[in-house]
Amino acid sequence: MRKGMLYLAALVVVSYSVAPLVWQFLTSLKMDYELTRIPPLLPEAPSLAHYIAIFKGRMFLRIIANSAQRGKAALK
Amino acid sequence: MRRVETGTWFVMPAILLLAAVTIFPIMDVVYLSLHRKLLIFGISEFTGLQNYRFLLQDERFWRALSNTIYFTGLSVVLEVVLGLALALLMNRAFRGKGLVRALVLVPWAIPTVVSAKMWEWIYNGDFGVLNYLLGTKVNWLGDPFWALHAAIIMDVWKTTPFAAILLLAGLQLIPADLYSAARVDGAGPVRLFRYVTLPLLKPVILIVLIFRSLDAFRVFDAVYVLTGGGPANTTETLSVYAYKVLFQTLQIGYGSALAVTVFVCVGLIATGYILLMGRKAGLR
Repeated sequence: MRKGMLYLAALVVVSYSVAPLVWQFLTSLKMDYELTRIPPLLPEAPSLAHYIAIFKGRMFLRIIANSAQRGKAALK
Repeated sequence: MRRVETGTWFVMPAILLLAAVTIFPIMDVVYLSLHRKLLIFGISEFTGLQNYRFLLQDERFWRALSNTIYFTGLSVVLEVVLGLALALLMNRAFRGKGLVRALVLVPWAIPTVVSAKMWEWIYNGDFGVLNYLLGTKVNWLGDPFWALHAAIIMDVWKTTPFAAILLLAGLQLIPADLYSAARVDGAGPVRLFRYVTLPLLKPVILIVLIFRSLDAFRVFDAVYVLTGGGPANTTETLSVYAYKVLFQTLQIGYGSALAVTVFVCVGLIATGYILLMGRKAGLR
């Protein structure tokens, strides 16, 4: 019984911490026209289009390289 | 005696570096705050305390100050209370504890700008998931009452893990013998918490309070990205106001005066806590 309460509390805490990020992830899989639609909560046709667009953008590699440089400097 | 002197010389390079990168900029801002500057006309005249005199009459400043104090007070109290609850939970032994500890840190790991954008979308009055889940129709970021509270909720969500981790470290320093001894003396869970955990955790709680108050008082990115200080400046904090005056309307002198005020306030808060700590917790 007490163990059950403990797990319930842990579940509440974890979902509170992670829920906004999960929502952001779900949103990232939606097509643009779905963004102004609620319900449904889940993407109708999950798509990686936005992720593909990131890597197709010319600047992305530069941005990643800059972040890596910054990380390297922070580690020194 | 001589060794101390030699030591001083070894520390000199570090002191000089600190002077160059922190003390000089601070002095420069103070110097700028005593001037009236119009960059495009090349006007720069010494006006003494004129900027500060104006500041005392500036309603927008007082508004920003009260917003900042409200933001700091409410968010820090919530963060410490929730953080303590989280820490107590994570201190228990149960299966999957490591996973829970890792997941609880997620909000803290996301950059503030990203989480502010994320929450902006969650709060959206028309398509936000918050309204959908609550079944309400509130314009969270457009309502003068809710906007500041929305920013506080986001800050609490983001920073509670930080408080929780520090408090958890403090909890683990409390020897288990003390709990056993208190139990033998007949203490229940409430008394254990009240007379063993709380007193021994006090120094850590004070440290969390200091860190969080100083951070929250200077809050900029969370508020600036989430609401930009709106609606009608109801979420404008001192840092956001100083930024707008300095870099958007380019009133270098007055903006510097605002920045100096933030600096002085933060200094006062820090001094207050240190005095309190030195006396109550026996820490120095």
